[in-house]
Amino acid sequence: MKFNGAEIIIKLLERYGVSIITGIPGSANLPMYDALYQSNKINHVLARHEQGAGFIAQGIARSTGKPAVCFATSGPGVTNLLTAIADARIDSVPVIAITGQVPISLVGTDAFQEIDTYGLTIPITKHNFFIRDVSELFYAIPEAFKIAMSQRPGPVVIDIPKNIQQQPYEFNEWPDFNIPNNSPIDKPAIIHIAEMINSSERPLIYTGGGVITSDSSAYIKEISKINSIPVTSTLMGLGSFPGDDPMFTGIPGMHGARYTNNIMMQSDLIIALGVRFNDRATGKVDEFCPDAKIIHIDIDPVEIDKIKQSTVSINGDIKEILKLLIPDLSENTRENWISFIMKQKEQHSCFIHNDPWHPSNLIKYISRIVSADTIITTDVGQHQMWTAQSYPFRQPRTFLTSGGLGTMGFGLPAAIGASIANPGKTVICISGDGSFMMNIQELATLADLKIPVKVIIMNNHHLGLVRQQQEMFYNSHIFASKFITNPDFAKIADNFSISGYSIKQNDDLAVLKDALLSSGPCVIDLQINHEYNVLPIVPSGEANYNMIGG
Amino acid sequence: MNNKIIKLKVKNHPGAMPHVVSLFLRNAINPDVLLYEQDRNKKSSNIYFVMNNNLNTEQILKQLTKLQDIINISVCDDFIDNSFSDFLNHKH
Repeated sequence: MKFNGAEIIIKLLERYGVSIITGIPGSANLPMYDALYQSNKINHVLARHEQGAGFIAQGIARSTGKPAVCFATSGPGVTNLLTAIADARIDSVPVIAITGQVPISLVGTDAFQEIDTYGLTIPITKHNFFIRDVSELFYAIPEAFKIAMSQRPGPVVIDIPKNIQQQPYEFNEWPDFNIPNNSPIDKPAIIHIAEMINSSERPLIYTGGGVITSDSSAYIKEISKINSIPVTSTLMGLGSFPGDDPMFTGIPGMHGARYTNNIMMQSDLIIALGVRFNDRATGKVDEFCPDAKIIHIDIDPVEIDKIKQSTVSINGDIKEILKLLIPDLSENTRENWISFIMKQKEQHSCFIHNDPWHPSNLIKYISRIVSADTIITTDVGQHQMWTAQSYPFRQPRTFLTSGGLGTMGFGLPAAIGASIANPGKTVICISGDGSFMMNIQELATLADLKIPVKVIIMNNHHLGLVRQQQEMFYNSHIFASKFITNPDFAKIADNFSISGYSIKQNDDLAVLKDALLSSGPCVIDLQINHEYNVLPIVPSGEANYNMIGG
Repeated sequence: MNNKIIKLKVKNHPGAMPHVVSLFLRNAINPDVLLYEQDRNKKSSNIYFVMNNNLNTEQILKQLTKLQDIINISVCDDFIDNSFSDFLNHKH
């Protein structure tokens, strides 16, 4: 067989089941676009900014668990993509970015649109490749898929100079591709863990994004039921356990409910599954669950004892470990513990507000309209926290949010990706007016595709979470957080040929319902009171019992 | 206080060293000595550096282990004098 480098790239991607590539062409990746033009197995989605392409790929990967591919050209194409790659790294999302580079003969000469892609992406990828010879594609592309998907998933960048894309190459067979099995599990540790759980009085399961990645939700439900163990989730773990189950105790930390943080403080055993003890969740670490022993199970050995010293840990795949653990768990009703939890939830029932236009109530209203498998994406800020607090996520992979990096502008392109990968499902992007402006250009991509993505902008004319912090911790010096000018978002949508709706406070909410149940894409500008704060709040760096408000 | 020599066997290509060095800043590793040599087979290289003992060695070694270009890691604990000549003598 004889193909050029670009044709080899596209044919390898086809062989690995890639059906969508999103990106933007430019001089240094045009040979790959020419090869893609000839492919009848891969569709291309043209984004309007490389960051949008990166987040569309993330929406595909986060909603399906499968690797997603994006393309960018050299120089600014790559630098535009960096935020989406860094975001994928910290949230463990398998995105493979294939970037064009100037021809090898020009590398290192400050050529037009030359940038050191390899150097820039070292700290923000799981691994990266710079291709110096066309034959290396046969190693690098299968490796990229393996690395992106095995153990803890993450992004991989493959930087390919233009001359290599154009170089003909003769070969006999295509390389094999299989993802290696995870390492064997420490069985004595599992027996020890089962004994700890059985003999504990106030255990609590604490699930993170790793539970969703390892597809372990069904086992969490089973353990919670057999042994009567309540479940709390990190932001990234939402959806790993049904949000409307009485045993669910919410998200802990900075914007957790009072009852969640109280319950964690009282627990004598935290069963931490696929979490990384992030500062937003733990508050001051020394005072996080002070009376609890910690069982930490994670696929990534770096996470074990990184922040919180565990009593017992197992490094491995959560699903495989839980399967082995379940037979050793005894039935237990834990009446005292469960009644304490139910009382806490009753006494400190947060997120209940009289004003039907409180954002929490609007989010609950949305949740009652749409089906349980609806995928919600958010941007970053107050609307994100209100969604995490009040939307009852019932299934894994239905909540896509930028948890670790906290990237404003994530929501719309991620929703586009999720919708492409999940035809037939409704995808709602809950955004804010600040965040939405950061990738508003992707409305054009949405209009191209005409897919059912519903954007709800919780519009308070502010960078709301910044305004809130200025009010609470900076003597109400409200500065640089109020927008002097905001566009009419409904009219903007109309100009992209997308239905736009403006809903003011105390308008009929039936408009919102009709828009959500309509067939195509839409943008809903939902005006909210800018004075509402996300409560409770634990001031940054303080212990989780120091909650203000709520 | 005793320091440690970390010896890393890595895949031999120009991009291996930057991956290792990228861990230095975030882990406050400011090595007194850093040495890179190719193996005779040209397939692998060795990176040696001296690391201060008060750093979180276990966490750093875990992070190094995760790097895809690392073939294996060995640690020498009883290294006292970290002058460059002693370091080389120690290696040989």
